[in-house]
Parts: sequence; C-alpha cells; structure tokens
Amino acid sequence: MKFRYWIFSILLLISIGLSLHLFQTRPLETNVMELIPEGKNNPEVSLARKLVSSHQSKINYVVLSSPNSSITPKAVSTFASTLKENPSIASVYSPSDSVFLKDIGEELVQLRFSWMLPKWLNSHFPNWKEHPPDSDTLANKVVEELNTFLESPESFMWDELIPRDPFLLIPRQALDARSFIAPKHPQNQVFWIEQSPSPLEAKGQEPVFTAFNMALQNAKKHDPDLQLSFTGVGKFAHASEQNIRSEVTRLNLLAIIFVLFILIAWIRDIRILFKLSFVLLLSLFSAFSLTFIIFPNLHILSLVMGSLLIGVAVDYGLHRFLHFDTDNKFILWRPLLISACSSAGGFALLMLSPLPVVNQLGCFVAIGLITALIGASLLPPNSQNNGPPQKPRIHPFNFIPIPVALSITIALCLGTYFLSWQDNIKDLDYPVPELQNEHESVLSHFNQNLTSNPVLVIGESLVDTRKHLETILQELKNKSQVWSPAQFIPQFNEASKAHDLFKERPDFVPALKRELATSEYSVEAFDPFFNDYNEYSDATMNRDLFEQQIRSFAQSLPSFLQSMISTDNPIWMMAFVPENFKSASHEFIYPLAEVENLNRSFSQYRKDSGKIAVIAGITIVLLLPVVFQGRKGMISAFLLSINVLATLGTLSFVFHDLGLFHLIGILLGFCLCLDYLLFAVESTSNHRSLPVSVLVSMVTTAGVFGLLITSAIPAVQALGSSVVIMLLICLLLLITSFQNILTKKKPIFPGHG
Amino acid sequence: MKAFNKIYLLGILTILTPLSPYGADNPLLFGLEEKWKPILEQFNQINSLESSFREKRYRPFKRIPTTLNGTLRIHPQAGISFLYTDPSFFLLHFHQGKLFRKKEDSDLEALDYPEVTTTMNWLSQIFAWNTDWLKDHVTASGEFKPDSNEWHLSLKPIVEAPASIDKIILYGSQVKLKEIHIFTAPRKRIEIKLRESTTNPNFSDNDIESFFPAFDQ
Repeated sequence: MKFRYWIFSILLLISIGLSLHLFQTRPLETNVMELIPEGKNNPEVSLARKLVSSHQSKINYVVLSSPNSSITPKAVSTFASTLKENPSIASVYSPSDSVFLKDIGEELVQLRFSWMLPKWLNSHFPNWKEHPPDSDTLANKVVEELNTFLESPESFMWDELIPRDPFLLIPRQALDARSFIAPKHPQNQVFWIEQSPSPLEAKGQEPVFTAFNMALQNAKKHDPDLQLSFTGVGKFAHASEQNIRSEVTRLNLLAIIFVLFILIAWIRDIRILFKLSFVLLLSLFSAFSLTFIIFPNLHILSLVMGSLLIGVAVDYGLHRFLHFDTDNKFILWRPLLISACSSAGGFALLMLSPLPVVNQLGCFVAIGLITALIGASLLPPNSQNNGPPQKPRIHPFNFIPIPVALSITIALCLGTYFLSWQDNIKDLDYPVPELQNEHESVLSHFNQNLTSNPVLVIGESLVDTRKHLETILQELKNKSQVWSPAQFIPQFNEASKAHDLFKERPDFVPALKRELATSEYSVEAFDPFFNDYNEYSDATMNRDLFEQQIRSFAQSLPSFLQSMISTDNPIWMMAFVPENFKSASHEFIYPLAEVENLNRSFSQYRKDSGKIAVIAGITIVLLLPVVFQGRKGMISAFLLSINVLATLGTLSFVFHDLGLFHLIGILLGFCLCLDYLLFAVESTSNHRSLPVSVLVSMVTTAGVFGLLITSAIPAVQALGSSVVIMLLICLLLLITSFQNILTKKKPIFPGHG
Repeated sequence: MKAFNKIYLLGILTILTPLSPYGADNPLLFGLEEKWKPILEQFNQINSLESSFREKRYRPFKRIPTTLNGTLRIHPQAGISFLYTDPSFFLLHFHQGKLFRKKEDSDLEALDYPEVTTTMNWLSQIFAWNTDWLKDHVTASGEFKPDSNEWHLSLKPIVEAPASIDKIILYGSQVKLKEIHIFTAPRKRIEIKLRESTTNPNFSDNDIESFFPAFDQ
C-alpha cells in the first residue's frame, strides 16, 4: 500500500516541478492568431497570419493634441527625438514630415522612367497609345509644366531633384501620395511609430508604453498642455492578456472553492477531501506540464477553458473513494473505466480538430482525466476500520412521470428546428470596449484613406496582382477615392508600351534640350537627367526585371507601408477603397476586415470539428449496446441521444445562432453525460441506488461550467452554457422514471424505497 | 506680432538719428552698431503692413529667375499672407508656425513643406524684430552707403537652419525697406522686392477672412 503512496507522491512532485519550470521558462501564448491553424489551404487564414506577423502589427498610431492651441513645433520635435533614442522604438514617421516621402522617393528616382512615364503620358496625352505624340510635343509639354511648377511653393522642396527629373515624375507622385496621407486635423500631430519588439511579447508592451510616456513628459516641457493618445496591437494584446490572466486566476480559484465546498457539504470526511485534493492537484499539474510539452505555444485561453477540468477530474476520486462494498472492494470499476476512457477519448478526439485551441483544450483535459484516474486508483479507499462508506445523502427523484419528462424533452428537442450556425472569431477575444473606443478616436485623426476599408488584392505574381488592382482603379470612376502604394507601380504592359514610345523617339533628347534652352534653362544642368534617360531608352524591358523592380520597391517602403505590398506567398497589394465598394473581380479581392474576422474559415473549422464530433458520438452510441449487453446499452444510447438533441434545441431557443464553441461544449457535455448515464444505468440495473458520487459530480461539474458563463470571453461563455444546459437535461433524465424501464417497473432503489 | 514695416522706417530714422547714448549691450542690437538702435525701437510702433511685391526665384538650373507678383500682408495676430496674383493665383498664409495655401475655388490646405515653413518662420521673426528669438538664431551686421541713403542689414544663422538658409539680407533706402534676399544655397536665392506699401492699414473683417483664412477670429 505504501508503495502506491510513494508512486503517487513522486508523480505529483514531478508534475508540480515540471509545471513550475515550464511556467517560468516559457511564456504563455496570448496572440489570438495562434488559436487558428497555419492555413496552408486557406488563403484567408494565410493572409491573416502573414498580416499579423508583418510590420503592420508593430505600428502604433499616435496623436498629440493640445486642447487650447496648436502644438508648438519644438514639442513635436522633442517628442519624436526622445522616441527615436529609445531602443524599443524602431522608427517614427509623421504625415507632416516629408522624410518618409523622400525615403520612397530615393528608390523611385531609380525607377522613375519605367514606372512613372506611363502615368505621365496618361495624364498629358490620354490617347497616347493610339496617337503617340511626337518628340517636339512631348518636350514642349515637359517644359511648360516645369515652368508652372517652379511658381509653386512646393517647388522649393524639389529644386535639387529637378535637374534629374524635369518631367517632375517624382514630385507629382510624392505630392499625390501626400494628399492621401495628410492628417485629417492639421492642428493635431499624428505619428506612425514602429516598435522594435513584437507587440505580442511582454517587452513589446509596457516598455513601449513607457517610451511614449517619457517622450510625452519631455515634450511637455515645451507645451505643458500636451495630451497623448495612441492605439496599436500591443495595447490590445496587453489589456487582453492582463484580463485573461485575472480571469484564469478567478475562474480556477472559484472552481476550486466551489468544488471543495460541495465536497465538504456532502462528503464530510476530511481524509477523502485530502485525497481528492491531491488527485486534483496531480491532474491539473500533469495536464498543464504535459500539454505545455506537447504544445510549446500553449495558449492562455486553453487554460481558461481547461479550468473545467477541475469539475470533471474530481469525479473519479469520488467514485473510487465512495463506492466500495463491505469487503472494501471497489464496486464500480467497469463503469469507472468505461467512463474515464470514453471521456478522455472524447477529449483526445478534439486533438484531431484543425483548430489549435481545440487541440490544446482536448489534450489538456484528456491528460488531466487519465492522470486523475491513475491518481484515484493509486490512492486506496478508507480503511476497513473506518466503518462503512458514506451513505448517499440524496436520493434520486423518480417522482416525475415519464409522460411529463418525455413532453419536456420533446419540447426542448423541437428547438432544433430553429438551429442555425454562425461563427465569429471575435468570440475568442477578450472584449475591451474602452480601448476600442480610443482606437476609433485615434484613427479618426488620421487620413481616412489609410484607416478605413482596406482590401487585399491577391495574385499569382506581382505583375498579375498589379493587373487585378487596376480592375479596382478602373471600376472606381473617381480614382481619388482609392489609394494604394502600388499605384506607384504601372501595369507591365503600359510600362512596356511607354518604353517603346520613347525608345522609338531618338530625337526627343535634342527636342527637349531645345525647349529647355528656349525657356532659359541651363541645359547642361540637366545632364544627369539625359544620362539616366539614355540608359532607360537603350535598355530592354522584360517581365522578370519588372517583377524584381516591384520587390525592390516594396522593400524600400517605410515600415508602416511595408505590409501593403507582400512580395512572397501569399502575394498581395493593399488598397484603400470607399465604403461599400463591391468589385466585379471579387475573387482577387479580400476585404481586410473579413480576413481579420476569419469567420468563414472559422465556420469551416466548426464543420470539420462537427464531423469529428458526430462520428465519435454515433460510434459511442452504437457501441453502447455492445459493451453494455443489449438492454442497458440501448437505454443508455437512447437517453444520451435524446440528451444531445434536447440540448441542441434548448441552445437554439436561448442563443438563436450557435457557433464552434457551443459545438465543443456539446461534445464535452456528451462525454460527461455519458459518464453519469453509465453509472446511473449500471447502478439502477443492479437495483442499487444512484451513486452519490454521480450527483456530487454533476453538481460540481455544472458549477464549474456555470462559472465559465461569467467569463467575459464569448467563446468561453458559449462553452460553459452548452455544458451546463446539457448537464441539466441529463439531470432531468436521471431524476425521472426513465430508469424504471430498465427495471421493468420494479422499484429502482429498493435499498431506499 | 510686430510689424514688417518697422524696417520700413529704418532708413529715415537712421539718417535722422545721430550716434546714440544707449549702451552697447542693449538686447535690441545683438551685435549691431549703436546707431541702429533708435531705428529698431521705432519698430514697436508699427503693427501691420500691406505691400505689393515682386518675387524672383533664382535657381542654379535656370539662367533667368522665375518671377511672381502679388501682395504681402502682415497682421499682428493673424500672421503673414502672400497673395500671388501673377502668373499664378494663390494665397500662402503662415499662422502659428503652420503654413496654409488657398487656391481659387478650392479649400484651405495645410502644407507640410519644411523648407517653406521654416523660411516663413524666419521672415515672421525678422518682421516682428523678435530680439529674444533673433539673438539665439542670427548674427546681424549692417552697412550704410556713405554717399547715398541706401543701407543693407545682413542676418546670418548661428546654427544651421532646417531650410538651409545661408543668410537673409534686407535692403533699404531712406524710409523704405526695398528688398529682402533669402540665400538658401549657392546660386539659389529668393528676392522679394516691395513696391507700394501701406503702414498700419485697417484690415476689415472681410480682409482678414480673405487674406488670413487660417486665422480663427
């Protein structure tokens, strides 16, 4: 006997030690994207994962404002310079600061002819493809436009570039881009601030917030009324993690207190309570450590849902320690093993689900159940000297007649008529409405072109993708409504035609020199232009080179724009389009909001998980008559089936639309109710009373799942409410006279009858 | 804000004022000779200005300058505005450190051109003769032509200005400030020649609304 205690103690110590070690050395995953799979065959998931890991996720949108006046330039520059010195900050860009346009410009200068001449031709000679202008006309237009440009204030910014770019290709493009990026409220100062560490890591959260605060304090020396507001992935991730951590603590603590309270109230045996507590500890720690080893990216949400293990794992100890006959022999080995194996198997089946969060939950609970069973088996019941085991204190109530119970159950089953499914990945998020409000408020200060209605245009290659983007541009009559960094890029066929046009005009250079001289320009000052132009017109334009140019351009974009062109699979170009824009080429266009929601993909995962659940459920129901020899098995299968249908019906009445986590809840409830029904049927058919352990277990389990309903996370709520409803219906079935069928109308509990 | 045509009177005051008894360390001067002081003190009495102008922009790649005509207005609260009327028509308004542009039939737009904004800021500090700002940013030296009533005042940045301003030279004759030359790079400068000027004009509300559109009354 002592040998068993030793084994139990060693297992418990190992699991606790391993858990503490893992908890200290590995961070728990908090990124919601880690809850969904790689999505190799699912473009939406693939897109979303790439977006989350892109530079875009590191961008913080920051607004500086001063309630009574415009912000002093000194305060703005101090704020920016303080941040630039901070190691947590990678870059600071402001739409009011043209540095980033120049960054883009440097790369574009190299590509200006092949990329921008098509647009220049389109705007000055709309029919250039059909009626190509001659060299004199082209040269005259260049100089005429240059003269006008030199009268504008912006010309001062480009003086140094003009000798390389008399076409004004770069200034025009940059100024076009600027008009889309310019902030909405010029009296406030807005920034795009890229942080160095990932916003999903701890060092990418509080250290970044501290950097912002330090910069604000320094800037306040020049403008004491300065106010800062910002939004970014890190802010949401931090708030979400804090909330989920406190929720994990709250739920687990309440679950333990509740279970202990029920046990103390019913069991009233301190030795059994101790044993149950140790079994629970072994179950929780071993489940945590082994799951963490199997899933290195263990998500914190899996632990929130995993807290339900406490309510289930206690069952085996209850059965083991409360049910033995006068010979001190355990009398329920068969139902205990069948129920433990079926429950653990049911949860283990969840590991086949395509969703990581479901995998982790299934693994966590399955391991917890098996170790709870092992732990309960290792610890013996109370010794013979301690008298008979605790008598059941609650008798089953078989006073509800079958017709009444049948009517209630059938009525509940009717709800399945209204059954509909709708999934929302936001159900997995911890809602933080105050941050959401601030997020919207901050974004309202930025140019709407860069904050609303983003779409991803997808293609097989960058050239193809640009072609698809053109479809959107063509569909929108007012092209100023759409903006994308990819607008810098022409379509390959246009670039090629423009190249041909200039290549076929060797007299363009002398014509332009003549025009420049006529307008009193120093022609020799434009030598850098003529050198570059000759190189361009002599070169050969091909698709591979063009594709390579796009890659190079995309990599040169400032950080906050880099995710707007993805050059590796999946290839995309991001564009900002008007609200309610519907494109005829919808197969190439993914609204970003839809990608972020991933609801369609989520529904697919629910369907896949549903198939697994249905197959597993039907298999178990069909096996019951075999394992339980005919009548008992048939009755169990019938009760289980009607339990599932009535639960689905009730959930439909209550929630209208069910989702993935309702489905998982039903699967969990199925495993739990199978346990209870097996014990009830076994006991009843042997003319024994319904084991008190079943009732205690039902109450503790319902209580623990009931606690999940108080969670702020909709997915956890859905899971908890599904299990609680299923347990309540199971209880209804157990306390009615359905069991009388088993005993052919004989009194079912003669010992108490 | 003090006024542009504080400098307007500089010439005549210089002629009328003999060497003054004021101390050399007077903050108004920051390096200028004592004889400038009475002139600069007069600046405080002038608040606003309206003057037509011709602006010439010299660039290294052009043999002749680009020439623009218009009207300059300065208002103590509303800032500086340049109304260009020929060959293009548009208005530039510099107010509280920010630059705005209004074109015909279009909305007021904020411009984010650091070079232009910085130059405008320098001009506004000079016109206001903001000695606190000037002594931190420029060194001044002036010269009077002995045989004429003409003078020039050269302001050179102490530290490198963001707009790469090399120096600003004010040219005047007797009672008038005639020209402002802004040198920003070798062979690159802006010359603003003031023509018909009115000192301390009464800007009506309509004028302020039209010529200082970013000013919120």
